[in-house]
Order: sequence, then C-alpha cells, then structure tokens
Amino acid sequence: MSWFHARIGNTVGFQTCALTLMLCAALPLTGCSKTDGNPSVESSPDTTDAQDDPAATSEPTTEVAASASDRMQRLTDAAMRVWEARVAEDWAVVFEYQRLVGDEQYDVEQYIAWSKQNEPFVIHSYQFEDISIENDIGWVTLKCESTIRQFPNAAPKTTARIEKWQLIDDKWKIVPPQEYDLHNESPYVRDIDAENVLRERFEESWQARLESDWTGLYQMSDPKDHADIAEHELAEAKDLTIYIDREIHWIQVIGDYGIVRVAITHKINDPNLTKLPARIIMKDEQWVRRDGTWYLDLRPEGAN
Amino acid sequence: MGIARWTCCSFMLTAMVGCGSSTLPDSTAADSNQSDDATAIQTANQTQSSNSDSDVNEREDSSAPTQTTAVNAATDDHPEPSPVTFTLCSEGLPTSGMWKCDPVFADVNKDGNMDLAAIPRLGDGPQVWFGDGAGAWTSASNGLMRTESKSCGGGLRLHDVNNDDELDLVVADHCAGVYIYLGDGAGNWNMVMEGMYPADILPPSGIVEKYRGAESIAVGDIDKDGNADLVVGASDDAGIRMYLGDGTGAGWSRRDGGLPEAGWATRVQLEDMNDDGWLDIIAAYSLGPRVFINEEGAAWKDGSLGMPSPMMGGIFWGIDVADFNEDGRKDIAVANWIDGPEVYLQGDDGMWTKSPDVFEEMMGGAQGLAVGDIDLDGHVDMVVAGRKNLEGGFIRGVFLLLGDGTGGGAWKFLEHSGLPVTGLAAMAGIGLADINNDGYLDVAAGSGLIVETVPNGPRRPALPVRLLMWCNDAKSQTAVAAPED
Repeated sequence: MSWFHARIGNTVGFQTCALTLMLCAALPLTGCSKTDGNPSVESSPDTTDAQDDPAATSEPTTEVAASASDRMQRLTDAAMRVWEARVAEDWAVVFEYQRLVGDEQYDVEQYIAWSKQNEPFVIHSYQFEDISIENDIGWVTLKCESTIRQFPNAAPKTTARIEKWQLIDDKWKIVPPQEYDLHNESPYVRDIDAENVLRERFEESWQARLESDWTGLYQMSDPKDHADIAEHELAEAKDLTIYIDREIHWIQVIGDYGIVRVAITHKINDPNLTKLPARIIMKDEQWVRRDGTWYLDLRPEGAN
Repeated sequence: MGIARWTCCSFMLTAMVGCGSSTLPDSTAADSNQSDDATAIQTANQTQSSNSDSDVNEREDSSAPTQTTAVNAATDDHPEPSPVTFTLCSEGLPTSGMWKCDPVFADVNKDGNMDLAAIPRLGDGPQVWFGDGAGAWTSASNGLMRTESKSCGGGLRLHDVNNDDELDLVVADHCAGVYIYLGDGAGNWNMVMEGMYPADILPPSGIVEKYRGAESIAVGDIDKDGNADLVVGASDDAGIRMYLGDGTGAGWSRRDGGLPEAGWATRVQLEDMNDDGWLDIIAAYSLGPRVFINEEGAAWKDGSLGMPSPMMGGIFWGIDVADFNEDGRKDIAVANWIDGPEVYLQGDDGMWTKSPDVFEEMMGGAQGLAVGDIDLDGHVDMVVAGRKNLEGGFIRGVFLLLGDGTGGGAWKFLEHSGLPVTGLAAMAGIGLADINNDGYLDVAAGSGLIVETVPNGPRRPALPVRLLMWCNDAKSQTAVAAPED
C-alpha cells in the first residue's frame, strides 16, 4: 500500500493555490516523512505482501511512483476544479464528481436545479492545506470561507474540512456522505508511525484469539476496564467464538486512540452448532494507548 | 460483555423455514410415531427397536437373507447395492398440503393393517387413512374436518383415551391447543375437547396466542390409574404441561410440578427411561433435549444431566428413543436443525453423553427423525429428514442411516436406498411402521413445507406427493437373492 502526500502552500490567494507537491512514494514497510512539522509518516503496509516480495522492501519503482504521482496530480486537478466550480456555483461541474449511491437517481439538470434551490452554503474562497492518497482513497484537507445562503449579510466564516475522494473507474469522485465512515481519516491527521505499532499489537492480540489465550488477551486489554470486566468474564464471552481469519481494512491512530477496522471470519463455538457456516463481521476495534502501550478498549466511550 | 444469546428467530434467518414459535410461519413439530400406551405397544414392537421376544425372533429369521443382498463390491460406476431399498407407496395420500407433523400409525379399524394419521399446516384439520396392507390408503376422517379455522400442524397420537377399546385421535395444534376426537374404529370421529390450553397461566395483559398453541403431545398412563394422561409441549411459551385424564376422553385436569412452565417443545414422548415402571418424558425442548423422570406419578425430576443447552434455541425437533449401543439402557436420538442427527447415550448413572457426529455428510441440518431396525440386522437404524447442504429450494431428502449397535459415530449412510436424498420440499417429521405386513419397517414423511426461492431452481418438488410413504422392499429383494445362494 502506498501513501502519498501533497503539501499545499498557503501563501497564495484562494483562487490560485500554489501547489507544493511532495510525493512520498512509499511501498510496504518503507516509510516516508512529511516535512513542515508534520508527523513522520509511513505507509499503511500490507505486511504479507511485503514479506513475500523481496522487491517490496527496496526503493519504489519508477513506474509505481509515476502512477502514484499521476493519481495525485489528477486528484489535485479534480479537487481544484470542483472547488473552483463551487465558488463559481457551476453545479454542472460539481455534478461530474458526484457519485450516486443506493437507490439515488438524479441527473445533472436535477442536480443543478436542486443546488440552486437548496445548497445551503455560499463558498467565497478556499485554500488547500493537504492532499493525500492511499491506494484509491484520497483526502483533500482545506479551509474555506463561506456564508449561509439564507443570511447573505452575515460575515463569512472560515471552516476546516477534510473531503474524502475515491478513485473509481480511473476517475476521482467525491465520497458520498453515506460512505464516509467506510474510510479512515486523512493521513494528514493520523499518526502513521503509531498505526504500524498498533498493527503489530493487533496481530499479537489476534494470535491470542486464535489460541484462545484469553489471559493473554486480557493482559492486552485496557487496565482501566478491568474494574468492570474480570478476566473470566472476558474468557466466557470469547469462548463463544472460534476465530478463523482476519483482514485488516485500515488502521487509524489519532492521538492516543486507535481504530482497527477488521473483517473477522469466525464461527460460533458450540458443540451443537458445529456445522453453522463461518461468518464474516466487520468490526471497528477500539484501542487506547497508555504510557506508550496499546490496549484493547473493552468499553470504549459511548459503548454500552 | 453483552454477548447475546442466539434465539430461535435469529436462527430463522439462517434456516429460512421456521421454528417453534407461533409468531413464525413455519414453526412446527409433531411427535414421533413412538407410542406410549397399551394399544400402541403393538405399534411400538413393529416400529421401534425393543427387547421384546417377538422382535428378537423377527431379527433372527431375517438377518441372514438380508445380508445376502449386499455382496457386490462397490465401484465408482456401480455403487454398492443397498441392503434395503424403498419404493414409493403413497397411493391415496395427499398430493398437496403442508404436512407439518410426524405421521403416526396404529391399527384403527382392527383389520391387521397399519392406519395413518397426520395434520397439515394451513389445512382443514387432522386426517386419518386406513391402510390396505399393500400401500394404498383410504380416507377415514369423518368428523375431523375443521371449518372454523385452519389447522396449523403440530403433533398427534392414536390412543384409546376413553377406555372403549377403540383408538381415539389426540391432536396438538400449533395454533389452537389440544383437540380430542373419540373414534369408533370405523373412521368416524367425535370431537370432545377443543382448543385446550393452560388458560389460567395467561398474564394480566391477556396475551393469549403465546400460550394457546400446542406443538406436540404424548399419551400414556402417567399415574397408573388406568386412564390415559397427556403431556403437551407448547408451541410458544407455555412450557410442557401434564393433564391427567378421567377415562372419558373429555375430562382433563392439569397438574404442574417439575416441568418447564415457559418455552416450547417441538416433540414430547413418554417412555420408561430408567426401567422403574413409570413413564418418563423425553422432550425436544426449546433449550435442548430434556428428560423428566416420573416420580411415581406425583412429580417430575429433571434427568437431563449431560444434555446440551446450545446458544441457539429451538434447534431440536424430531426425537426418538432406543438402545443404540445395546447396553440395556435407552438412549435418545434427536434431529438438530444445524448439525443433523445427534445421539445421546444414557450412562448407568442416568447421565447423558453425546456420541460423535453420526452423519457427517449432513451439513444442512435435520428436522424429522425416527429410529427402528430397518434392515432387521438386530441393530437400531435411523431415518432422518433434512438436507445435506445449505443450498435452498427443493433439496430436502430422507436419509437412511444404518446402526452397528455401538451408538457411536459409525452409522452407515445408504445413499442408494431408494429414499430420495434431495428434491423434496421442506419436511417436518418421520414415522416408521410396517404398513404391508412383511416384517420390515416402512417410512413416512410429513412434507410440503415452504422452501426458499432459488433463482432458476425447480418450482416443484421431485415427487408429487406431500404426505410421503415408502415401502421397504427388503423382503422382495431377499426372495430374489435367495435362489442365487
């Protein structure tokens, strides 16, 4: 998995953003660093691939880098075109980068009509701060100055936002709101180094699950939860499940909190239900870092 | 930790055909054909493995020629000949309907031939057919037609409940409770009890449906007063209830004590499990298979130590009793919706031990089950209704497993017995009886239940009959094979 990052200069006026593209053509297990005080970054590695392919630990190939560079450039171009169009209220251009989901059905004329009637914000200017890509997902971090259309005399407000993009059929599209939670946050706000540490910690915990080592797993859980959940309670709950396989979709660390989005293949551990087929559940596993060590959060805030 | 217990309804999502709850469309059950009264002892000797002298004699007479039918070595192109083969013998039986029960047998008209009773879901009540001893059936259901509401399937028994020496029909209707029809032996039936259920346990909220339905029923003289008594398994949440009879067929008084007062039981059966002379209860209860020991007619004691309580409720349906490992103690076989048939062996301390998987090839679960010595080799065999895999549509079948007397995991699946192993609608139950008086057990299956819609799949089952009957041709095979010897 490659991670690319473009640092956008913020010294120029909103209409013509000077783009300082800093391409970080990272391959699995090869890191790259962001400058300007940003945290050191690495790829979100596909460890297996990297270990299987000796070439993966060497410098990225020109072809890969070029491809990534091309995607980054095209995302930058697309984002600039969309935001220019938003400022100009050229809804036909904005529509080009929308993607319909589910049973949504509207065409460009309907989109224009709706936007003219309902678009709540008037965008006065924008400024890109960062553009990053990981595989087919892109993040555009920006600030924009806007007012609410219903209150045209109100003073503009500057707000920060990170827009998610996705490369579909070789064209960058804005990720629709319904799918925002499918993707992690921008590497711009994430701690990539910590994510790699968390990945190792998760794998350690996965091994404990495979071996039904509930004592080991309990020791990897948040000590603050131990007052509420005893080891035998964790063991009793976990004993109901036979863990078979996992596929990490992404890891996200922001501050001392981590999320591992993982597809877990499992079966019910019951001698009278042995022929139930294995099932896959998608799980956002919460982790917390205390004194530099990651712990599985058994009771994340907001959970029951 | 918030780990939720799997429920019958969550199980429904997987199985797509129903469970023992009246709120779900295809929940079902009925009783096995195992009889538990004096009249039915005759049936039991014919349908179940037992230690009676007559049964032993029958085995001895037929075991040698039966073995001669299975001598050819199997090859890929020429599968091993089945020691028993079955052919359809359902002439006169319904070609439509959802026969959601274990078909039951007894000689109602005393002509020496087995007669048949069954109850459909969304039908017009239970029905009885007289058998001619050759595989043809004639309706004998005068007075059984229900006009006020549809029947919902469930359980039924043929048993003399009013001591007039004629068999009566006792019905547990999934939706409406217990019905009693007194028979005259000529196919005429007089309903003397309608929709009995434990009405006094209704909560103040007045929720009725949850407590009205009866999924299964067993009949026997529980208190040894000479009158037939009832054990009723609820279809939803009324538990397992006992009713003592007064010998009229119309007077029943409920006696609580020691039986579950909530949950449901897809099958109940009365057997003397500990050989103390008192009938005990075997139940496919919602929490798992259960045994309740009769304490001299006064109370019930849980005798289920070693029986499972799976995470998923309501997965056990058909249940039957026999001595599978030939140790002199009665064991239990039960159909598991997920894992297929299971066998639990009774230890000398009354504890239960599960045998290894008796039918590994069955990956789609079982619903109906009955046991008996099909090939007359002296060992108890098993007939199971279910499916071999989790594909949807008309893929259910009837499977014959031959036992070897160990009760362990060495049951032999006869794929080419003539019983269809696929192509059928969903089934609810199995019954065994010798319907053509040849000494061999024949097989009935309650079929016609709804199946999943499968794109481009068959729209009908492979067989046009919905209350299915197969005759065991072992004797004719033996006759053919004998001259070659």
